[in-house]
Amino acid sequence: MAFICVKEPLQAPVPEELSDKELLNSFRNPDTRSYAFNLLIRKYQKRVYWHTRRLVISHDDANDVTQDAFIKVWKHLEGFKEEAQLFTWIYRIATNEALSFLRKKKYKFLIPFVNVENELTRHLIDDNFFSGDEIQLKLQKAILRLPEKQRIVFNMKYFDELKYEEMSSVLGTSVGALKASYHHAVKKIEKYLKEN
Amino acid sequence: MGTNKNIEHNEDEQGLPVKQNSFSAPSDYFDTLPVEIMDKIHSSAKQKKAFSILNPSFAVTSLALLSGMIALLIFLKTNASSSEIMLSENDIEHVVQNPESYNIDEDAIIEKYLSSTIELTEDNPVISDDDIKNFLEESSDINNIINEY
Repeated sequence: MAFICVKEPLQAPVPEELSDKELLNSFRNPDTRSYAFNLLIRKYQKRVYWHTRRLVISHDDANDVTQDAFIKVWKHLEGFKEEAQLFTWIYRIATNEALSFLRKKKYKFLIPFVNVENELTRHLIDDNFFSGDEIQLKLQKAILRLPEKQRIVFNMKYFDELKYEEMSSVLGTSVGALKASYHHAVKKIEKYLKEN
Repeated sequence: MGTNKNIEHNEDEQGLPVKQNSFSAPSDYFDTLPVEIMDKIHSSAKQKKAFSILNPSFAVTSLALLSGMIALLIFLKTNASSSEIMLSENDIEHVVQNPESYNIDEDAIIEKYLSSTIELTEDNPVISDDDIKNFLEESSDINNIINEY
């Protein structure tokens, strides 16, 4: 894989695209199913990738998780009831894939959870696809020290800029609990940055 | 797409550094990712189809194989039991001990039987074809002949 890197904005502008409703209608038609899903991937791939990338850190792992997440979306999209927004549903699948990936990693190498965070930090330092300065590296280290749930909440709010209501739909947690979780996460990160 | 975007901090985020994406991906990554995913989806669907139990061709093949095996088992079992009837240990022993008994001459059997049941007279010095025919029509129980012999 070439080491020519492309930095992505936090919210990548999406080219002219179909609405979720149109995509779903096309997907339900057997003749346009694959085409519609291809468009769906193009529409959401960046958001899913960057979200999982911040959770699993390494590009290769994020690539695997993103692909697995979209394959799961393909399998279950037929039964999607449109009670939630399509993108929060996809986010939910991607988040679960990333978390189960990290848990598998923990069991596979028989390492305690704390050391998984150390392992991710090591990846961060060695990663050819991490191009942040010293303060950004320190920020990522601080995020990796957070408990799992707080880390997800922080990333979704701070980097992905989701609304609390959307996060609530993705994580199945109340808005109040998410606000509290985010507040605690920010305080911990600020403390870490001051002390280091 | 190539620039990072700084976003305003809210109150909670006063003490945090400027927001930016410090991660990057290979240059053509997002051009090839949809193709890779679609390839995986299609290849796994093909694999699933090929090995599915519900696949008609798989089901027909399995059924034919199963029927063949059952037929073979029945054939082997029937053969084994019929050979037991034809050649039991006692039969073999009997044949070995009395080999002459099994040199069966049909003409001799018939002649012997008829000679004991049809009286030869002066008017009828030989056994005619009619005698044999009548005899066979009247008492054609071949088991009697064999048992008597």
